Amino acid sequence: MTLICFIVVATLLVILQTTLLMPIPVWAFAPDFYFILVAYLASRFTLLPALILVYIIGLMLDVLTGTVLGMFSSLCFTGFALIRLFANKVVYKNFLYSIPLIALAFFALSGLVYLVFDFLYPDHLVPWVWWEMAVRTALVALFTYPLFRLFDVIHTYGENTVLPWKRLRTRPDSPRRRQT
Amino acid sequence: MRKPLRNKRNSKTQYLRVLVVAVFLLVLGIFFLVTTFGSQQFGSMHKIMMEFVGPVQKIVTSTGSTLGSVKSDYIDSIQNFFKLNEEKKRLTLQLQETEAQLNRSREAMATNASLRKLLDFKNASEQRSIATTIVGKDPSPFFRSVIIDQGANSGVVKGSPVVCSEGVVGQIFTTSPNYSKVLLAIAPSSAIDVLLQKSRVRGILKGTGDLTYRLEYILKNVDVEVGDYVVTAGYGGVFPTGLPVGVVSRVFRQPQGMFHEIEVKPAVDYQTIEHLLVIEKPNLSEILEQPVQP
Repeated sequence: MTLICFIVVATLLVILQTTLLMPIPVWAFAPDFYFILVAYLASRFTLLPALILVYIIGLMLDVLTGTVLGMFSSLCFTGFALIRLFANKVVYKNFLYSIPLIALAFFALSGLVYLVFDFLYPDHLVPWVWWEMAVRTALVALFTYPLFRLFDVIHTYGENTVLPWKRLRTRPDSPRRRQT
Repeated sequence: MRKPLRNKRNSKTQYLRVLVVAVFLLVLGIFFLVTTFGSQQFGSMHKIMMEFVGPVQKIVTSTGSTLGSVKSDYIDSIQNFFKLNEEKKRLTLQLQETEAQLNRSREAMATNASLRKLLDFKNASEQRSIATTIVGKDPSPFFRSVIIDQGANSGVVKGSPVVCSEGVVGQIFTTSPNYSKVLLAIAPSSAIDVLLQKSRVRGILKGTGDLTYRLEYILKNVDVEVGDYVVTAGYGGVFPTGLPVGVVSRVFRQPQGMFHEIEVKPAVDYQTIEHLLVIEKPNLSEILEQPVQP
């Protein structure tokens, strides 16, 4: 159920980002909510469901944006891997450190992915604009804390809802198991 | 024995007093009636009565008005406060509804105007086209594309030109059954064959990623001026000939190199585009079916 909840959340965030938060095609202040969700998945989810969600987010973004397929999937997976590395560190668990880390990871990975794809597909990408990327990084930092809180609420709801996956599992001492 | 006797006397005296007063009042009444009905004049009795009643009336009236003003100032105000509060809520709601209705009307009028312009453009064009609306925009800072609500089911194919009433917007990049992705002409990967309308010189129009185009491959010996119109060349059969693309906004005359560096301001306002037309590409079978002119 948590997985379904987060698929819905990811879809809504991507849709929000491509519609209401983009008043014009060259709008520079669209917050990259998807990266915050990727960071959350890397921090709080077990590996398999998190990877499924990251794949879905990357796929949606690749379909809805751009002309080079795979760019957003790369960004999402590398972002996930990098933040996952930090996720178990004590420092990361404090928001004071995790927010700048997530923002920094976004900025660095965007630059790295841009370099790679600009090399592979010259003249396909809009020139890198420092101030615009700085603004987007600041927006990621700004929205990380409230979105993490929101995701925590959804996560808790997903786990405690009517049909949690745990209940579907057969317990070792259940009568059904004893019969078999 | 004396006490009952005294009581009896007192009651008699009291009875006599009441009787005297009653007789007096009766006589006074009869006198009043006789004088009133008889002479029909506003006599001294009336005046005395009026002088007696007047001040009382005055006091009662002033007290009543004071009480009335107190009531209207305080008690009614409290009642009115609740009434006004309800009235305010009702009027606020009514105002909100009216404003929403006004906004809807304005929106409908703006859409109507935009669609009318698009329809005029469609009617003026000889080629068949599909009307469509932008449903999503690319949030990435590295690309310039939009999603439209028409796809392969409506006849949209990859490479179809996309225009609006002002001019060229871009080309179809990918399609799904009901949606398509449009590569905007301002994207760096976009390249359109164009002509300078005045000199009829051909060049390639490329996007810059910003709200301008770059016109390339215009030789330095060609006379280009700010304000020259740029239109589609129609070579290659992708775009029809003569569609407005933009206006030359700056010409950089470099001492080195063979070509001019020309900046073109788009004819289309990318900040307000909403309704678009996808120009249908003619099928090969349709071209072959056309009768040959002798």
